Amino acid sequence: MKNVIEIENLTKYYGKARGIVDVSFSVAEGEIFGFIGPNGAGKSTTIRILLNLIYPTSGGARVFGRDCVKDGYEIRRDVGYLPSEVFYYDDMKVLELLKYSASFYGRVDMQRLRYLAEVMELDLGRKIDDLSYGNKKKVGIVQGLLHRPSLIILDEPTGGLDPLMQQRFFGLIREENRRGATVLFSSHILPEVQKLCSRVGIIREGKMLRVEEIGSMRDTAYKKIRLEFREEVPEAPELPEGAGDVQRSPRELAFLFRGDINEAFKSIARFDLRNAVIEEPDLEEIFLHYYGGEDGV
Amino acid sequence: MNIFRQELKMHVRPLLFYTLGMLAAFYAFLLLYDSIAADAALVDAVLANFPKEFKAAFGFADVSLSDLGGYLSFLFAYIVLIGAVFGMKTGISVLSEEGRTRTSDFLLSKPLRRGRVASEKLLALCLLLAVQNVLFFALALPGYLSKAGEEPNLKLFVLMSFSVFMVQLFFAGIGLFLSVLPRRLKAVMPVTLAVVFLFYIVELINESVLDKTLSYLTPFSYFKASELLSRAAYDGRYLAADLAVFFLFTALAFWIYEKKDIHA
Repeated sequence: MKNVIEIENLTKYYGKARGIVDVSFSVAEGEIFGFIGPNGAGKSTTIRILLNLIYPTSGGARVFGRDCVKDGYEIRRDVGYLPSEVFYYDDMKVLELLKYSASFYGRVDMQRLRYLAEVMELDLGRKIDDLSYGNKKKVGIVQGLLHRPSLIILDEPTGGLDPLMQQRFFGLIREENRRGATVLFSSHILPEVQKLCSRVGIIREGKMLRVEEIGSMRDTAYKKIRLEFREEVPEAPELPEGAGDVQRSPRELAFLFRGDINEAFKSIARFDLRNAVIEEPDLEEIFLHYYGGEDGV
Repeated sequence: MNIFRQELKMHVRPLLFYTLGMLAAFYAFLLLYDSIAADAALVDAVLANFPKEFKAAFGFADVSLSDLGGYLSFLFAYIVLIGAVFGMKTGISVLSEEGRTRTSDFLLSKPLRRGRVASEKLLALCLLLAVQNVLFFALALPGYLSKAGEEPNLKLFVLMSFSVFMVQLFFAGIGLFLSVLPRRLKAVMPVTLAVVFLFYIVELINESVLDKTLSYLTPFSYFKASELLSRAAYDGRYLAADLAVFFLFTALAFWIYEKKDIHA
């Protein structure tokens, strides 16, 4: 399969500050690739180089087989980009802004514009200045998808969107993907990447840790389980295999669990519970337990 | 040409505001002219007692205020100053406003070459300045004609009016250049005023020491109305210096803008 994005030994320093170091990966045509890492890991730096908003210190990146620095203009014609923080001209109305945005790609497809606005429940008549953060994000989504790009780059796109809108937005992305669009989806929230992506690249402190199939990540993913007992439990309860990082007080028990979730429930069942919380661990915790701390792999 | 149009839209209000300011200053000074001309002998006698350095600094060292030409050359120093502030402010704004409103990502992730973005912005800047000068000239002319009597010196008035444009070009170039240097320029007005007044102070010093070479340092010396009175034309060397500064700094600004990292 053809690669839409090819990144080789890409390095970017901002003066002396580290952006990314020696990052390499590629994204195949038609895939939804998750790009995941904690804040400040270098996701946006990588993306901004792909768009030629910033220049690499060394290494290179190609999109559609073209060089990001030399052919940025041609590349961007077929890229839809949604930045993590959206800012627009405050005194424009939403429709005005979307038309301005579309004018750089040629003709404005009003039918598509209305369709996208309808799906995202975006009011076209309002002033940008009066929009909430979530609504500005919707403007970003519509302007990013309006020209039917064949590469969609999303940088932490879901911030500010309520769960329903996230659903709709993911729906749109899947729709575009079925049409053939390739998607680079950057996020620091693992579950949303798991929902959408087929492969993920994990980046931390400017370095690529590894690229994995999403299936293998799900099998090995940790759950965070926290229990509150109705009565004090004096003895340490017996936990199934796969439990780790156990923290205990007479009325509480918390542990990370990796393995068959049924086994975990079996061992919990004998307690009289006041409350039980099962969470996805955040990225930092995953890095700590899954990748063995500071130096990752 | 959509960026060009967008720029014009964004700057039309300051354009009108500053043009009104220039016209207000022009007509306010003109109102005072009648009373000064009526007591010409007295005014000249009073001014004769002022220290030369003081008169130089305020632009009426070698002209007679009771004569309309001399009075205009005095008042145009202030019109040029207001124009210079607008030229500098707009020059600083056009390439840096995306950074301030944080819309750089929006604009530069579009299929645009940076050179194209900068060119359209430069074109808008030049048109804004030209429009301001034409507006000012057209609306100030009736005022001049009403005072000029039988034989108005139209050529002189044209030269004085459009010296505003020439000085603006100088500051627009400097403004473009300064605006692309920092990562994100936030304080447009403070930088504008600091730079314009710096050049104005150089001019004041220059007037006092009367050093010819120093006069190349500041555009306020290039098109001095008192010189236009006697010469009735722009000085070719100063004109060349003015345009050279504009083209050089604009080219530098374009080059830096092309190579610059755009931060979110």
